[in-house]
Amino acid sequence: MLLAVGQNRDKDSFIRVFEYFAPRVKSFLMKNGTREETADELAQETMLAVWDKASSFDPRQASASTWIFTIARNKKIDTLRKTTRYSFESTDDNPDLETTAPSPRQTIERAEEISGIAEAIKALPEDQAQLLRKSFFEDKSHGEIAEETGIPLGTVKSRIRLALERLRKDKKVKSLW
Amino acid sequence: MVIREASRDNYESLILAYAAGILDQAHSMIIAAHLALSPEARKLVQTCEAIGGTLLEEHCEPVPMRKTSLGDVLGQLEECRAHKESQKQKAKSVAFPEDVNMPECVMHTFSCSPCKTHWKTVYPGLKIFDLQLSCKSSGAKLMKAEPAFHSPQHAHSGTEITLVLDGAFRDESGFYKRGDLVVAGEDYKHSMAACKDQGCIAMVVTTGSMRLTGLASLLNPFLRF
Repeated sequence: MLLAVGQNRDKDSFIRVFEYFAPRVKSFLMKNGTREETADELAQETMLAVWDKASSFDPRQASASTWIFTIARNKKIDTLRKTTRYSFESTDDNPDLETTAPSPRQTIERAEEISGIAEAIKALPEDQAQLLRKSFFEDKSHGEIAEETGIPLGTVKSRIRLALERLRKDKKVKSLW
Repeated sequence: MVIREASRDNYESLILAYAAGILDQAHSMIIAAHLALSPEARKLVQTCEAIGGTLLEEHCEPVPMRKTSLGDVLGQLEECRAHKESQKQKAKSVAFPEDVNMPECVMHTFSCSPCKTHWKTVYPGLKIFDLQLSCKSSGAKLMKAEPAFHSPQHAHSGTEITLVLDGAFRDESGFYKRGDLVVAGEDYKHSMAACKDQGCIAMVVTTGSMRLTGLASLLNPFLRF
């Protein structure tokens, strides 16, 4: 659907993307305590950015949810944290990217890899999964998470590393890494 | 890229924190610069962002948008937002010395530009340039070590993250060149030796302060690093 928005500026596809993702982006933005009204506005801005940038979406690089997550994350940083965002747009050491559209097979393979991450996250021990959720949802640094939970900072970091190792070892996820 | 086992925890949690958007300004900048120079690090960030995407899709119970939201968004689709974006990004611009090979992403995103500005000598053979970010929790500096410079042994009260931008250096944990990121945790004692042909230019982000250890600790009251 995102591809249709990007390639054809198809408004009907965009509406479907909006209906599926905007409520989830709003929910994501509210998880750190943001007011509903503000979250609604930021979710709208995120979807506008999705429309603007849809032509640069490449399903071989990331799934739609990952791509939209990065846009929502950047909006959150820009707006709520009022710091200048340092996004990564590399020109150094950039591998050559193919410019043809992905084949149906590549798109399916990618979808399988992504569902692999979802399954692998479900299989994580709760103490690791909890730290991942806190990192992504609560807008607190690892130092603040350590203070809040009473878990030593070193343990927070090693659990995150263990979680990443498990996710990367998972067979379906392997090809992402 | 050489990462010591003991600092692997620090390194991976930094990359995840970057992907989650929870790093402060100084740390975000050094990680973004590291990503520009390290394809391996980019893959790790992609995995972390995929975690974010999965959490967004599977762990965020949809909260209905206001009834007018879709209409408002559709009404704005045709507007030109590029102009508004470039207005927003006029943050205070950051100068840095001309001889620093700064990754383009850092220059582009933060209006960073090279100019004829001076390094400050803090120790024989070692110069620094303070990047003057408006970041309260950490400091970001550029460091220039002359060829064969050897620092005195020192430790840190917080963490010190070093990204090599030019040349190379060696410390007890390994050898580091352009694109390599080194994380020195609290109280990790080390001394750094710059490559004898080119010296080393690096970006350094610190929380806390540095103190000299061993005999050189006599110099601590005079050190302004």
